[in-house]
Amino acid sequence: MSFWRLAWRNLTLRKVRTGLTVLSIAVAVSVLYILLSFNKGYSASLKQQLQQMGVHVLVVPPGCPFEAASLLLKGGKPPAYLGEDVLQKIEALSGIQIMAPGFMSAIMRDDRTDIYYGMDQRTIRLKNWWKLKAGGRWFTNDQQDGIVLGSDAALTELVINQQTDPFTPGQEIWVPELNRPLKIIGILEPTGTQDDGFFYVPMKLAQQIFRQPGKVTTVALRLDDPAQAGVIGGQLQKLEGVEVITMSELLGTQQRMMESARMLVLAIVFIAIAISAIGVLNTVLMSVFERTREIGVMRATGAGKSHVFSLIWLETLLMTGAGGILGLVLAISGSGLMEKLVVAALTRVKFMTVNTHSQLASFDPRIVVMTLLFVLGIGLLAGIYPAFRASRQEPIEALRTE
Amino acid sequence: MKGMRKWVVVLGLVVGLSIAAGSAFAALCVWINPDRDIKNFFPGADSYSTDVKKYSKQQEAVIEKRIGSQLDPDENEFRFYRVKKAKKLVGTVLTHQARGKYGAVQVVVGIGNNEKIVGVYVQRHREPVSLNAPSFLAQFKGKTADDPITVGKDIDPIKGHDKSSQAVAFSVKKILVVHDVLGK
Repeated sequence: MSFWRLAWRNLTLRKVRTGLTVLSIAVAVSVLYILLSFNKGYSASLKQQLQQMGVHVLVVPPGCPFEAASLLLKGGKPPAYLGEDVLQKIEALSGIQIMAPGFMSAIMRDDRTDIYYGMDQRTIRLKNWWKLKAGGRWFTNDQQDGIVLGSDAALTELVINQQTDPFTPGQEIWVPELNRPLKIIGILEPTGTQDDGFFYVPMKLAQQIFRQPGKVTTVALRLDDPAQAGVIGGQLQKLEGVEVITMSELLGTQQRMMESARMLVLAIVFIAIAISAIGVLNTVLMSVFERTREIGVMRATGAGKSHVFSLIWLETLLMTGAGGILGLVLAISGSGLMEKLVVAALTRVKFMTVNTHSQLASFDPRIVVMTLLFVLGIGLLAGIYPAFRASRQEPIEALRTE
Repeated sequence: MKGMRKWVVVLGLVVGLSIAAGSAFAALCVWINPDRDIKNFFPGADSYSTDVKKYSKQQEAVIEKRIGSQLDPDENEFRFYRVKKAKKLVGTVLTHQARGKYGAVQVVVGIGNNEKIVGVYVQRHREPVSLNAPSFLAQFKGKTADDPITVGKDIDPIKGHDKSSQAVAFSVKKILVVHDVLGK
């Protein structure tokens, strides 16, 4: 009988105990995998969102620039505004390819939050990857009325099926702040970013809705040469009443924040894995104690210390390997369900905007291999002591054991 | 080997069920504030549980005939929130999203054990008038699935807002019919 078969037979002799130990490892591995893949998916989605903005520098009103940036991404009421004088000064700078002022603000009501984005033709040029559903159009310089809905906003507000329903012109949306309806002139195709949740209106209309004539909340800049972001950022900093954020700064900060969150979560998961490892150690050790006589017979019939050590170690390896594979299978097959549960839970949170197009969990074979290797390593470590203890048993003493 | 096969079958079932559960999610109208609505519809009730019901082709046809329109393509299941008082069932809550004049109208309906409506609340809408006017919603109390629940017949609309009122009436009728066909 080969070592593998012998180890397998020993494990299957105590099915319940082995099964429970394998299950505890599987649960810990599932959690580890899901958290790692969620973390990776979220980082990738964040990076994609920032890159898709097509913006090299953002100019926002003074205050905490990252809070302002977060507001821009998540939606909210800005604490301050930029005036027309600032816009003129920015326009006078050289090296700017597109300067797109935006007015973004949210109206929180008892039952919903409406996030408006006031813009002009320059934003449409800046976000040239935006596509409207067939039949839709953007507002133009001549036609300064109407509303374009992000794809998620359309889904929620118009009760349409995003995939199958076409854009039907002629629908209206009531804006209490204007005390009149706005004609829906277009629906944005899904972008997989926060843009999907917004109501896009002409700049002047947004300023009218929020009673902030001539004010904007952000100026997005695309530069002729992105490498000049630092230099132009420095020039902008000299303007009074502005805060400047370069995209590389924003990306770096977001990544640092993600890293901190990841470390905290990993610390918790590692505790769970350590507990599972102790479970493995306990199971194997109990099995060694129960099989003292059997090990004695093995030794008496010619098995060396290394044989006994290898056998016990192999049992640990099999158990952790099975737990690891089971955990990964459960995690991969259940990650879609987990994602839906997380999205469902988040949509229940009042005023929370959930991007339903970007994938929260990201499948990455490297995470699979890394998780499996990690759990096997933990298993091998947990198996050292029981294997060592078993191999040290003297045959005569072991045979005396009842 | 026989034991191993058993484990493989169990594992397959777990994986299969996970995938099936994932695909069962549909674009549903989320019940935003259960505490508020339970308090209004079933005073003294202390808990609720969710009962997810799918329908057969035959049941679909019956529902569609009775409501006079097709079910939405996303509506592959209905959620029945069973409301309890001291562990005893006192009624059921259902939600529905219809299209009003200016967008989505989300309606919550409480149905007593006697199949009659105990309360209606519009949890989300963007119509220019409050659809939660007591005089309008009071008309739905006591209605059953057999009533027409149609604006102009047994429901008076909110003055000047026929389409918005019809969206609420349609949701209430649909909920009652779905409850009648699937809820028992």
